[in-house]
Amino acid sequence: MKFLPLSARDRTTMLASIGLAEQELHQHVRMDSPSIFDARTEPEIMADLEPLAVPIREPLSGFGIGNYFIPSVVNTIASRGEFVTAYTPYQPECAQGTLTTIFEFQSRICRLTGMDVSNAGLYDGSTAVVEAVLMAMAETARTEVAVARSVCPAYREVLATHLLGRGAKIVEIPFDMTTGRIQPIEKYVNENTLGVVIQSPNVFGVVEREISDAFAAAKNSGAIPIQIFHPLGVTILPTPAEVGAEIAVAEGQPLGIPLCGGGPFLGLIAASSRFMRRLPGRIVGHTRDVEGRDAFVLTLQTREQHIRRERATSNICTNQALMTLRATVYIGTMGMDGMRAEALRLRNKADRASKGKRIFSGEIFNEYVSREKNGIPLEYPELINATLHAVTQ
Amino acid sequence: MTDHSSLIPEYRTELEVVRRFTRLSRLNFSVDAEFYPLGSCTMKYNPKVCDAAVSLAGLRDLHPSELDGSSPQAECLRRILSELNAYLSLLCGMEAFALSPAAGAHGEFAGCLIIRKYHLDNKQTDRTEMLIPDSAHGTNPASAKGSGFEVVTVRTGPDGCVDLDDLRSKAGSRTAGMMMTNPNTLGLFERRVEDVTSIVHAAGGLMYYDGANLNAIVGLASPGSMGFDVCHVNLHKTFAVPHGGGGPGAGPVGVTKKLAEYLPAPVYSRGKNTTPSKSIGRMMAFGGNIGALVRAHTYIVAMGLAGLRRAAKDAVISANYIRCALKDLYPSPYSEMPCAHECLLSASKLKAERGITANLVAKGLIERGIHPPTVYFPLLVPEALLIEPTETESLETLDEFIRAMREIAALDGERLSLLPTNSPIRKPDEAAAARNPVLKA
Repeated sequence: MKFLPLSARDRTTMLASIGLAEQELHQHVRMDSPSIFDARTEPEIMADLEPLAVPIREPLSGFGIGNYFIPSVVNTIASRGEFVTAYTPYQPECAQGTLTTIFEFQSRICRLTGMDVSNAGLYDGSTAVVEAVLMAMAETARTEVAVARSVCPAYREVLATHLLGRGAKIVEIPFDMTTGRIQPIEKYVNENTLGVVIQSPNVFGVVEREISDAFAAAKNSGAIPIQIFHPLGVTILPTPAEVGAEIAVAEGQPLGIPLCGGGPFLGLIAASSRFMRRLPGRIVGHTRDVEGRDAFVLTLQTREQHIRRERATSNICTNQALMTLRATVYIGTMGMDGMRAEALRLRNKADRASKGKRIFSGEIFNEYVSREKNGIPLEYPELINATLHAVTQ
Repeated sequence: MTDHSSLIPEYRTELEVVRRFTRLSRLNFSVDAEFYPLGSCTMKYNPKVCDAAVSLAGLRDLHPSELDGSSPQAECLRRILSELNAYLSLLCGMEAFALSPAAGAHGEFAGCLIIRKYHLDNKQTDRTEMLIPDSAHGTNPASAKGSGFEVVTVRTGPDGCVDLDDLRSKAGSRTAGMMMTNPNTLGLFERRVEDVTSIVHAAGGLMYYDGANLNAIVGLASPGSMGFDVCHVNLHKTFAVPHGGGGPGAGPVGVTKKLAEYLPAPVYSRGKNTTPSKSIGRMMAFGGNIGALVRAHTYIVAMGLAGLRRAAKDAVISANYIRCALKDLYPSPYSEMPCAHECLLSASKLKAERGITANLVAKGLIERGIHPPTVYFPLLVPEALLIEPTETESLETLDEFIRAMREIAALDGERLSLLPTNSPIRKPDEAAAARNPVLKA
């Protein structure tokens, strides 16, 4: 198919009106001649991708992502070109579709978590943890972050990478080998601790029942409690607000987003109101237009890199707006009751599937660790031959 | 407290969801429906074969833990990712790319961490300064700062390019590197880029190429041949990944040979996943925005090298055509010089004459069904209008845009301030939104 509309005649006309030859437009560019590769037709392209057209018989799930049920309506809406091919809604008069969707998303995420404020979304769950830690660092001006060892290892690696130039140290909170839950955190928190990061349900699928006590201890020493939650699990478990989290983050993939080999996914972030001006990324606010109609606009932009430059706490610019749309349509379609029913169904099924096989005694949501061979290997040297399993359908 | 709960609906049926979001979609301008010459964003047409590629069942349900396995789906995806690495390396003159950064700013950040670790490994602990031109995007200083550098701003000279004397006075033993966009954000090729890279290299620093404007040179010239050591590419700009209302995009980061072992993990090459020996670590929990990577691969093979080159040249012709047709009414300090893939005009003259600001021009374009250009950026030019038509628009569309811009210039500020009249909302009170934030229902 043809993607370039200008004809040779068009180019001649245009160059004549510019008054320059084509080479003169590129006179400061030192030309390269990389090795040629030819264009392929659509049938050739799709034939080349044929192995990817074969459905996966038993899709894997685990680490908070999986082949969760996606209502068809999500795919229908998320493939509309008016959403897919728009950009960041800088001009509110011609972007109310995206802006209204983001506002609805922020509202749903606040209701889901019980928190006060949220944003338009972040890259994924792991980078959402990074942003939460940066917010806590800016708020406390401290230098150590205590992170549970039962937080997904890949998340901890991503956090370590992003803190390389920030001069912050990561302290690990160990877990109990019997229950799979965190050990008491008091030893790992002091006057330098900027935040305490706990995932519940954690990477072993175990619900951190002592999370409220841990967060209370964190607050006592002036550290910010940060919870990584599960966006479906949260509907049947105590919310981040209820357990005392001040910042709540999650991987939003279970909310209507396909696995797609590892992304694009969606980072969720919500916080108590005192962090409103420290949230990273795009935030949409309600206002009225000159005729008094409801209107939505990007707001609080003085937080952002295009205004604050090196003084911005985050460098984030584009987010994952199309994934935000998917999550918003998912939550709207399922409803809170539907999500709760789905979460209960998954928990019951996971309970039955894991009976007699789990290596941790702690209560689970939809993932568990066993020594069966068919799961995802876990990178914990202390857990020999442990594999992760998830129930998502 | 006011009750805002009526601002979002509770849905009773699927039809209500479909109707709500179908109606909302119609309130958006988009590339599929409107001309969208948003400068610096490369809003080109997004070929639909790329949608088909990412909808394939074996990709949709593939868990990242299976990506390194032996299933046909995993092997195919690893091959695609390896090929994308090879194509980007070829087009950018780099040794290898890591594909995992999720966006341009994320790629910049990875690049800065690579520069940091390289100097630390070479015991150059005093190299704490990152040179950044005053014309740079805001993400550059934010990324440099976040990776531990102090930002040193380099001035732009009267010709719109980096002021070499200012650069010489600032490059030195504390210089870790310099971040540069070329063509720069003023839409101009940096004509002395090789002098810039020599000065920074002589001082012991590394050169970082911000690929935001790669669309002007893709297939014609490469960051590597200009002397850059590290670069990122915005796949959602040059390589036609749709912008999605603000993402997901992808910002792969590439390096020359001496830095190849510093890339973030994973790196896909020859069908295999490898972790470089001195890697800065992981940028994302899983492999990155794989869907965007597959789309970019599909676009590259659909275009071929000749197609990519033609696209770059057509993007440049189109921007210059608009520049020449509008520079009398919208002159900027740079509008007499040939531009790259975007042209920087200004409403300053019209503002002085008749109160027509860049913002009013934007509203006048919305009235005419055209998405406005980027306004008030770059900051170096008052009342800036940064126009990037891209290569996928016809001459008729460009002419229609030019006509609209000339008609707007003939109006007066007062008349324009009533526009748009045909949009779903008019003049939202943005100050009130920020003063008294209502961020949820």
